[in-house]
Amino acid sequence: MKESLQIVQTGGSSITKFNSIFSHDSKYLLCPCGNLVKVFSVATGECFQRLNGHCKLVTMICHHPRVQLQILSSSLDGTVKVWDYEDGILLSTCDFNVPLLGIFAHSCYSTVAFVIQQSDDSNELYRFTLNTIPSKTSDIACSLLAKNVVKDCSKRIAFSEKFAVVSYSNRLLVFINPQHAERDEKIRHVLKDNAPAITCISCHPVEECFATGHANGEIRIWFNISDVKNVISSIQHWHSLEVLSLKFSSSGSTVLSGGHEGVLVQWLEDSKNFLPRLGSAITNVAVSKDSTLFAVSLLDNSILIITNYFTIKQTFDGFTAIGQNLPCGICYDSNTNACVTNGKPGHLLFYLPDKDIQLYNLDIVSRNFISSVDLEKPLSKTNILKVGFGGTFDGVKHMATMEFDQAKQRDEKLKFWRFSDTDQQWVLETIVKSPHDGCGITSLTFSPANNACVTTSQAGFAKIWFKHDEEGWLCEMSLSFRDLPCNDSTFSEDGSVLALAFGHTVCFCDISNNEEMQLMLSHSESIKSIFFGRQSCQHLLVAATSEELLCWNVMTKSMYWSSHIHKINFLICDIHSENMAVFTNSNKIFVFQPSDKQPHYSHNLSIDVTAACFVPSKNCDIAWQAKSELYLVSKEMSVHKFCVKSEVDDASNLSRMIIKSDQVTPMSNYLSSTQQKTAKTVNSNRLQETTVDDTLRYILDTPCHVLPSMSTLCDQFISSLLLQQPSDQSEDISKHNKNDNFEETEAKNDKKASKDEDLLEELEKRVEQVKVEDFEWIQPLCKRKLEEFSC
Amino acid sequence: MDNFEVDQVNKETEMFGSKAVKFYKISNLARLSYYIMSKFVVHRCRLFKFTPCAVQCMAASVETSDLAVARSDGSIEIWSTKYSWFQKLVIPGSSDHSVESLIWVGNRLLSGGLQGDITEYDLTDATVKLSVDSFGGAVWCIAYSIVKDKIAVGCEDGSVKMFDVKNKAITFERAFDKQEGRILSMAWHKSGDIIVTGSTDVVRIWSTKTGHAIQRITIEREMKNVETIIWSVAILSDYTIISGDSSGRVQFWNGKNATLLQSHRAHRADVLCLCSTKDEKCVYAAGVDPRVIAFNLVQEDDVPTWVKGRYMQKHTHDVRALAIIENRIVSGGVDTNLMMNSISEKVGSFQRVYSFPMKSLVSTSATKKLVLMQYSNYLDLWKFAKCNFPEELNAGRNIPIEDNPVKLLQIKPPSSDTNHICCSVISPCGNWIAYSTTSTLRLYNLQTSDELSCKVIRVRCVGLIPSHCIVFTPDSNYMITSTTNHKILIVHLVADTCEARLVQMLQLKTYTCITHLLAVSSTSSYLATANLDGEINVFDLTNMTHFCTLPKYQHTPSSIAFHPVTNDLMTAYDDLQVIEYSLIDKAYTKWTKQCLSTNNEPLLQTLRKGASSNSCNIAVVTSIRYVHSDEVDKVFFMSREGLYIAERVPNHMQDTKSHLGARFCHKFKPLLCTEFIDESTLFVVERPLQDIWEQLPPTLYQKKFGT
Repeated sequence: MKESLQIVQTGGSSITKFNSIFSHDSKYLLCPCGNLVKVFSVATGECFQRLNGHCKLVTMICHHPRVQLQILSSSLDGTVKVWDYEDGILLSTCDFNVPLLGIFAHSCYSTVAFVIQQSDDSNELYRFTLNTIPSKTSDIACSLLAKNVVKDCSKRIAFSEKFAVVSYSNRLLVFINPQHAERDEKIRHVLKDNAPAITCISCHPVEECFATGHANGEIRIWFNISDVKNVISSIQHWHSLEVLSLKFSSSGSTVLSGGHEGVLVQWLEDSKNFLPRLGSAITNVAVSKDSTLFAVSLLDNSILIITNYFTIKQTFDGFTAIGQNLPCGICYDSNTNACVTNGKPGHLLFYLPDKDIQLYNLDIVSRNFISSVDLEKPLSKTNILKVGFGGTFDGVKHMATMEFDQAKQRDEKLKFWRFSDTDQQWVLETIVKSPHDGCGITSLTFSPANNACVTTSQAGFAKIWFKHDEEGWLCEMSLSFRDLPCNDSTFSEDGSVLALAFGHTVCFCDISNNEEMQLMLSHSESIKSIFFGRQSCQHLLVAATSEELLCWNVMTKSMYWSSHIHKINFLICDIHSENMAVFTNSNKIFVFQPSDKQPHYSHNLSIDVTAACFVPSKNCDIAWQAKSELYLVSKEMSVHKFCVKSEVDDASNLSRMIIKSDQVTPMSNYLSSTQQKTAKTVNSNRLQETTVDDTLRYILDTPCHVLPSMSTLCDQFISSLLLQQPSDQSEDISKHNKNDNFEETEAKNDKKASKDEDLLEELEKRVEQVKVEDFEWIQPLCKRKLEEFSC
Repeated sequence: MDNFEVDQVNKETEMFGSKAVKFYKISNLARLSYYIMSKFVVHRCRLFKFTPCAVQCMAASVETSDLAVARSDGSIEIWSTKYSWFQKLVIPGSSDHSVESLIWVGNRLLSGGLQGDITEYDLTDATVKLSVDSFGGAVWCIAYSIVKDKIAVGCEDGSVKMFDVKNKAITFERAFDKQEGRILSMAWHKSGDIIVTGSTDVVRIWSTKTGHAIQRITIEREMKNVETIIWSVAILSDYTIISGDSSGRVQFWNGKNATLLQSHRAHRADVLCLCSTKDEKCVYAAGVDPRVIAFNLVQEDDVPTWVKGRYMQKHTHDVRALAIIENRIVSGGVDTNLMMNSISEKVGSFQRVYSFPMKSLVSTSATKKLVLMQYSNYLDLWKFAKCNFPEELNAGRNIPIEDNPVKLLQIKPPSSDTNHICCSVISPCGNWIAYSTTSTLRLYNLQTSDELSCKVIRVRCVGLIPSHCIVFTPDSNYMITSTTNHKILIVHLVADTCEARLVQMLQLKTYTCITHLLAVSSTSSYLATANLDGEINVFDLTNMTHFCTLPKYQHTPSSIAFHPVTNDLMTAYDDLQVIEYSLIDKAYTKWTKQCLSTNNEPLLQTLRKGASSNSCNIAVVTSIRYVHSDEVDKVFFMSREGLYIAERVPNHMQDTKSHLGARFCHKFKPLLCTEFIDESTLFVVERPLQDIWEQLPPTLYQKKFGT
């Protein structure tokens, strides 16, 4: 069992790290996401296709120069793959055996494509012929065009109808007719010494003109580029920080640019349009072929589809926790069955890990995004440090969040939220300002038994908050023990006992009866986190220090077991089963039950785990995940889970089975119905060929004493026979066939001897008339018939 | 006796300071201070409120590559640009004369002004040569067609008047149809058949044959009630018309059928001037928003498109004039300086031409501690501030001021003389003051009754002629002037009786240019004259004869001076070359030969490197002073930006090596005067650029990011 388990990535990864592109009909947006290419439907916002095939990061995608519905993708695994993105089919693979950083193709150069090969000391731009894609590396006819290409090449190289531009930080190489140009047939433009470095580039689609973005926020438009001496560049300056993305519209009349300010700027000839407050830095801009839609990739891993009237039409969220180390860990929200963690700055992310769907980002801090003046000194922001969910009492579910600006040591707020059933959203109930005087909150736990919540801090206080109907949440109790820092708190499953970890001591108290703290367990080392066991292990308390895992029996107040584990990172508990999991800094995972010292499962992970969570699920093949699955989030913010090895292949094939979900229009309804019809006839044909043969062979070939009773086989047998005729008739009926049928029916009419025969005949008639698609209605009829026969 | 005023008390507080050996920045409070500079005490004076005037228009001469710059006070400067930027001559303006437009007709310079006439200037003696009425009121613009050899002027009454400029005359030929509103801008097509004019809301295309308008282009208004003023038009040889208007647009029109090709709103405020390069592939536009923006022609698939190219933002105030000289674009405006950029972006760099004059506006009398400051239409006479020098002069210590400087007099020309002052001087003894306008030279005797009160008496003398340059001999017995009719006048002065008598009139050989420099030897025995052609003549004053002519150097001399002992003549040229000529040997001195043999480039140029490199005209030497002692012979070359100090072995010491060393001291604010009061005190008049900026009108408000 242990050997067969392996972790697979189920979600996460940045969808905005690399350029995304629109499909030619602007219906889909394709973005590289980790090892996949995701195809989003612009209309519905759903991920409708996942192109799975690369085994390393996909670095760039581009349209096939000739075929409209195909794309090329390059990856660090050294291959260029050709995909049909609508059907999600991998068409061909071209192996370069060198990590590829980018691929470029343009419809004007139909036979060639360009790749960036990463070698040890420099990245090189090669041109290769697309016509025949050979399997061997040596067969690929490559010609070198440029060396030492900047690593972030997707923004630094641009192709247009007549030329290609390769930009370095202070010079530009222009290749006229890049499908034929040799390496030395280039025009060099060198910027002045004091000119700001080039950060991105975009070519005018038609004219001999391109635009460059610069490190100081300038945008330069270059004309006359084929003339080395008289090249003209005009400077536009609005951005105060580096220009991160730049794109000409497909007509070439406007330029779109974005940067760290989070403002999309549309440059018209004499004026500018702005779309401000996008919430994060703009890393990429894509323009649809008809220039009606822009896709703006933001640094927080979301892509906005913006119309040309500058309204936001659609939002695709990746795993927006990108760029953080998830200070509040992952919580499970039973309402939405979602994992809850830090999302966008100041937001909580609700995420369904099993479907890789991001539900929403809940704004907790309510702050606007402000770009810092100096990128070296980012502005401090208020982070959500802890989040906790309470049980449902009186039909109300609560959530508590703790936010704090760590850099400036201010804005410590504890917020209590209530889920409003009418509005179907979280409503803020109570704000407690500086509940722990900025002393570093360590835990936030809800009582499973009543509306009580415990917060603990490093200053040594555990505060217990109760909900009052009128005043909201109030602190009713404040507990401390010898001024030791309070590191963690946990409630027993029934909520009767609260355990608090004060330094190296664990204290218990019954908060409902307002009793004094009692019963202490202590250990030599400071305890980092504690959890009560669940279900059958309710009486056990598991505690983790940095080097040891301890288990106490609370009833007997004695040590149950202890185990030495090197450098414990964090401990999590499954509330739906007895399982707990402990992660070490060296990325080992131990899954255990408090009742047993021996772990069920241990594994050396290949990823750096930042946070993990048990999520309830039903269908799981792994024994210890029978009730809930364990999801891991890596440092790179990719979501992983454990899988049996065979399942891994399934998961990779999963993409093929995802049904096309597109917008429903009368036309599409009509089209789909006709499509379905044809599809069904084809299917039934195939079905009958196979099933008839199989069942016949099955009945005839098997010795009769091992055959099941005739009644069980009959269904199958009859129905397989029945299928033959309608399908025959569904084919175009020749005259000859028709006559045959007629004769047959006549013959049958003559036979009207028995009642049984009559019935059968009737049945056949009906079959002829209906051209049945669904045969279930026949089955009971047949059964009865056969029963009568057997009698 | 002309007008004079006595200003009794100066209210400004003054301070003295002393700093030895090293130079430190003086505190802001100190307008006047003493410094010790190696062995010298520097007396810094900031009383002179020199304020340059805004550049009104410019015209570049095709033939001589000279640039004519008209300023708002009506004065016209001619800058030589061939080798280095050097202000060749200044034609002083007058209070009733304005220059709105300037044009070169061959080597003739013509201007039109709001007083309603066309003026031609005599560049050989820096005077007005000819003035013709425009017959249409104020002249706003002038254009010249080389094909027709005619000029057209746009007048206040809305008509274009054509003048023939053949045979060195300006004769009225015809008037075009009158239109509504004044004609503000004008351009003449290369072929001579078409004239384009701009006025409010409309651009008209005129046929020069018929005098009728062929086309009329109405320029769109930004707001319904605000008219669009077309400040500037240009026409290219392919009949592309470019207009710059008050709403900040630069528009390109097809001149044949008067349709709009392109419109660029690159400027944030009025576009005041346009200028196209010779190959007509680039058009520069500038205006109130002080940016000079290039529009480049991109010819793609035979469709000409004008795209916005690079922009230059060096000015702080409105740019009023643009000119192209060879491969450089020159811009000038309200901030008075000229900015110069290379047309091609790749080669050449930016240079700034400051508006400081070449001529000294300040003269001093060492014996009476008086300083005379020349403004455009009056003179100020101040008495130096005084201080007691402590016995030990330490570096870094200010010497406290004892007596504040006192303004003694203000001398104004009579109100009948509207011409501005061209030059002025006070005699070394402090008893004589002379100044000249373009019409009259006036001589005054200064009589001081006590410390703080004095009066001036005009001394009349027969035969005085307005002059370009006036000097007094060191003994103050003679006044020598170089006149506008190319003569040298020598006037004998008698202080006791307040009499002046013309004793000699020396005829100069050159008539084509003015004699702008005069120098008298310390014993008053020699007189040296230098003209703009680079000719330097030495006259013997004892017998009033021509003594010798110096070898001619290709550049223009910027300053000449005699050695106090040996009477060697030192000349500084505008390329920063310095040459010393021995009158006895009739040859270059040993020091000069040594400098010329060791340095490939001019001596002062090598010294100057390291100082600010993007200003060119303020490096030119404006005066030369010798400080002679037995051990070491020092020459001070004073420029507007600092002092070049050359030390050498005196001639009498028979040493093989005479050149000891040289250095450049530029720790001063821009200098308007540098003079030795005695052998250990240097008197300098500074004018910080900051003070000039403060005098300028407010600029167009523009929001700057982060403010």
